[in-house]
Amino acid sequence: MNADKRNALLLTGATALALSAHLAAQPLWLAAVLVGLIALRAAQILTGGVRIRSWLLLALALSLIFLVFRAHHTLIGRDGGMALLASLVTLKLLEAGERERDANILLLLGYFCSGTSFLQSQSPWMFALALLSTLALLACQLALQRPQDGLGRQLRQSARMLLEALPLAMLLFVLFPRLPGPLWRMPSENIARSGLSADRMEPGLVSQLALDDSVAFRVEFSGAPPRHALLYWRGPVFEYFDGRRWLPPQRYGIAPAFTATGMPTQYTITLEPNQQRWLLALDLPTRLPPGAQLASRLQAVFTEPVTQRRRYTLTSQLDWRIDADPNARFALQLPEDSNPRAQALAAGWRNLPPAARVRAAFDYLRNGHFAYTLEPPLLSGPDTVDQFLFDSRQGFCEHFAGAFAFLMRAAGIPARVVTGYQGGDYNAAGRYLIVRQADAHAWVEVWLDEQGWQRVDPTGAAAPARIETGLARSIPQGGDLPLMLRGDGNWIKAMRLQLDVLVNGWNQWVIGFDAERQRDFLRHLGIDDFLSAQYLGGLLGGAGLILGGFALLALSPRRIRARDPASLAYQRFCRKLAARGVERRAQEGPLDFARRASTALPALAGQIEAITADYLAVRYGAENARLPALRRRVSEL
Amino acid sequence: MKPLRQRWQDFLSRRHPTENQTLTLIHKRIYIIPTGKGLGFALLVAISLIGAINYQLSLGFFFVFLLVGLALAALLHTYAALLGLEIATTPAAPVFAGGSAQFPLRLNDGSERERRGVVLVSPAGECCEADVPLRAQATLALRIPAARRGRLTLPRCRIECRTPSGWFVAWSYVALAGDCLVYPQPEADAPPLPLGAQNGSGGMQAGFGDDDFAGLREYQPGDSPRRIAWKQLARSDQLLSKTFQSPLASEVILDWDTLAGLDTEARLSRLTAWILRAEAGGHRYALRLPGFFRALDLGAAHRAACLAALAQFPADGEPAP
Repeated sequence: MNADKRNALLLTGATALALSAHLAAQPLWLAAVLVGLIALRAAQILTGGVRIRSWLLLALALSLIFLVFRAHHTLIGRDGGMALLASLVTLKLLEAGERERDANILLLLGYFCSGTSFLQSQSPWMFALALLSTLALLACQLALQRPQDGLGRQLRQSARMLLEALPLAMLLFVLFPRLPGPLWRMPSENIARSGLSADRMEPGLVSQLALDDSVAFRVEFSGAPPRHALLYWRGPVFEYFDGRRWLPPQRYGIAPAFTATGMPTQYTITLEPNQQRWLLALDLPTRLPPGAQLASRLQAVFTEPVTQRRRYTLTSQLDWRIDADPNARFALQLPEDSNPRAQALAAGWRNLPPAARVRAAFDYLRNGHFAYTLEPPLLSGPDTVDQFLFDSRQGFCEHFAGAFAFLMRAAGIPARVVTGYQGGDYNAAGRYLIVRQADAHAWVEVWLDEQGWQRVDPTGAAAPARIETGLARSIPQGGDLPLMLRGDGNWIKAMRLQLDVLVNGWNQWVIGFDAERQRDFLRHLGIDDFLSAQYLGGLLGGAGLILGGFALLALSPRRIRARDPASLAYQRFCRKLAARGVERRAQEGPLDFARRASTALPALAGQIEAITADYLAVRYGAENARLPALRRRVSEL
Repeated sequence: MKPLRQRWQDFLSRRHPTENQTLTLIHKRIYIIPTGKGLGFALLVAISLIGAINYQLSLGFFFVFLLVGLALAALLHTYAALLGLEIATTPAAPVFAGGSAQFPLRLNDGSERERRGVVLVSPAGECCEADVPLRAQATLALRIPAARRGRLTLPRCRIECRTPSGWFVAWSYVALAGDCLVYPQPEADAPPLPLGAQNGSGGMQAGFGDDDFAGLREYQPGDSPRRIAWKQLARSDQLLSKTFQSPLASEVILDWDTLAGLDTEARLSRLTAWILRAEAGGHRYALRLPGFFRALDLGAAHRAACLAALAQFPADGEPAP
C-alpha cells in the first residue's frame, strides 16, 4: 500500500474514532447509515474507486439532514446539533479528495468532534476515547506534513507530543478561572428526567425503579452515618388522591415552623443530574445550601432543575416536631365513592383514639398476609386500593403507602404520601454512602394532634427487613435483582464498590471541578483572588517551569550516552590519547583515528592498533570475549 | 524615502550580516509564527473554549487546554528543528550563463538532534528539502539562476521548517560567503575553429590517426586486415587500405583581436564556444585576451583557467584588470 493510500485510510480511521461517541448517541438506524458511509469511504480509498458526484453528495446531504430531523425533531441544540455535525463530517469525509485543504478541514472537524463528545458523557472511558482519537488525529496531522514517514514513527511522535502537552493542560485546568454560569443560556434540552416522578405516584411507578442500579446520589457524612433504618431521604410529597393516582399539591407555600430536637447530622451530597428540582435530604433538613429552600410540605427544593452533577452540604436533624400546620387540613381529601371496601374497613376504626387508628391499620397490614414483592400483579380498574387490600395482597412500597394513606384518611386522620429514597449502600472503601435508584421508597406521614406529623412506614409492616437492611434481604430470593443490589457478598460487588470509589473521585475532582471547587482549592493554596499576585505568580511560574522543563529535555543537546562497556573503554582510550596531544575529531571513525594517532605517536602504534581492533570486534562484531582484553590494553596504555 | 521593501532588505542585511563559510542558527536568528493551518487550529481552540465555558464541561476545559499544550509542544519542536543547525557552504561548480548555479550547502546537526523537513528557499522562491539525521550531515543544492557571466555570490536565502505539525513555520536567513563562477554563454552557432589560420603548424596529418576517413591507398604488408576496403576489393580486385586522418597534432590560437567588429560579450561568447569545441575535438589551444595569455594546452585545468578568464573579463566601461 502506498503512503498516500495509507494516510487517507489513517485519516478516515481517526475521523471515525472521533465520531464514535456521537454515533453511539444516535438511533441505531441513523448510526448504521453513517457507519455505512464511512465504510464506503474506506472502500473507495482501498479500491481507488470513483469519486461521488457532487449532485449525489448534495442529495445525500439533504437526506441526512432529513434523517437527523426525524431522529431528534430539531437540527440545533445539543442533540440535534451534534447529530448534524456527525452527519456533515461523514459527508465531508466522502467528499474529500486528495487535496491537502480537505484533509486540514477534516482534521479540525475531527478535533472538534473529539472535544464535543464530552457533551455526551464525561466518564473516564469517554476521556480515554477522546485521548485516543486525539492521538490518531495528531498522527494524521504529522502524516500530512511528512507523508513519506512510517506510521509507527508518527504514532510515537504524537504520543510524545501528547505527553508534553499534559503538564500545561493540567496547569491551565486548575488555574484557568472558571465562571459560575454559562456565558449565555442554551436552548433547553429535552433530557428525560430520571429517578422519582414528581408529578404522580401510582402503583407500579416505584417498583420500576427497583431494578435500576444506577446511582442517584452519594453522601459523605462528616460524622458517623445514622442507622440504615433512619435514612429517609425526603423527596416529592403527594397529597391529592384521585381514586387511582396520588398527585402533588397544587401550590406550595412557606414551610410551617418546626422544632428540631435530634442531634444535628452534617453531610455532603453529590446528586447525579436528574432534571428535577428536588434536593434529597435526610428527614428533616435544618440547614440548607444556598439556592435551596424548604417548601410547605417540608421538601427541600432548588430554584432550578439539577441539570449537572451537583454537590451540596446540609445539616439534618432526625427528630423533629411540628405543632401547627395549616396544610394538614388538605390531607383529609378523598374521592367520595372510591374504594368502598377500604372505606368500610376504615370506618370501623373511627371510634378509636387517633394513635390507635394508626396502629390498627398498621396491624391490619402486618397480619393480613401481605407480601412484599418486586412483581406485584397489575392492578386495573377504578378501585386499586380495594384490589390490593382485599384481592391481590401483593405489592411494593407504593402499594403499601398508598393504601395506608387512604385508610388513614378514611378513618379521619390527615395523611399524605412521601416519596424519596430509603437506606443506601455504605462503601467502606471510599467512606461514603451510595444511594441508587433502586433505593427509591414511599412512606406515609400522618397528622396527630399534639404530636404533629408522624412518619409511618407501612412497608415495614409486611417487610421489616426493607427498612432495617435494604431491598436485597427483603425480597425472598434475589434472583431478579440487579447484581449490585443482591444481598450475597459476592466479589464482583466488592470490586465494583472499589471501582465506584474511583468513579466518585473522578466525579468530585475532575468533572466536578467547577467555579466553587476551584475557589476552595485555590484558597487552600493561599490564593484568594484571580487578580492577586499569588495567582499570577502561580500561573506564570507554572508556565515558566513547564517551558524550562522543555528547554532542558527537548532543546538541550542530548549527550551521547555510552552505555555499553566497549564504548566506555574506547572513550577512556581517546581521553588518554588526547592527553598526549592527539585528539579524536568529531567525524573521525576509529580506523582513521587509529591511523592518524599511530603516525603521530609511533611508539604506541602497536597498542593503538590492538585496542582499535578489539574495540571494533566487540562493538560491531559482537565478540564480547574480547572485552576484557580491550579493558586491559586501555589500562596499560 | 526608500521604499518599504528596500528598508526591509536593509534591515535583514544588518540583522543577518554575511558570515564566512559557516553559520550556526542560534536563538537570536530564528523567527517563528503560526501558519494558516495554525490559525485555523487556534480558531478551533477558541470555539471549543467558549463551548466548554457555556456548557460547563470540565473535561471540555481539559481537552481545550490539552490542545493548547499540543500547540506549545509543536511550536517548540518546530523551533528546535532549526536551533543549533550548522550551515556551511562548499565550493560551487562553475556554470555557463543562462543556466543555474548550484550552491551546495552542508547542513550539520550541531546539537545532537534529528532535524526533519528543513527547507531552503532561494530568493526566487525555489525550494529544496532535506532531513538532517542525528549526528550527521545533509547536503542541499540551492539552485540560483545565473543570468550574467561573472562571479555570482550566494544570495541571502531563507531556511525554514514546518515540521512536525505544520501549525508553525520557523525560519531564519542564511547569508554566507559563497560564490560561483559563471562562464559566458557559448555562442549558439559559432563559426568553425580558426584552425591553421595563424601558421602552418595547424592542419591535419593524414595517415596516422583513426578519427576521420581520409581516402584509400594501395595495400602494404603490415596494414591491419580491418583497414582493408573489402567493398572495393569485390568491385575491382584491387587490394586497397583505408586511411584516416587525426587532428591529434592540431593547434589553434584563440585571439581576442581577431574578432574585431563584435562587441565584448559577443566576442567572449564566441571564444567560449571555440574553447568548448577545441576541447571536444582534442585540439590544443591558446587563449589571448587583452592583459591575459595562456599558452597552448589541453585538458580540464586549462579549460577552467581559460573560461575563468573569459568569465571575469571586464565588461564594457569597466577598467581593465
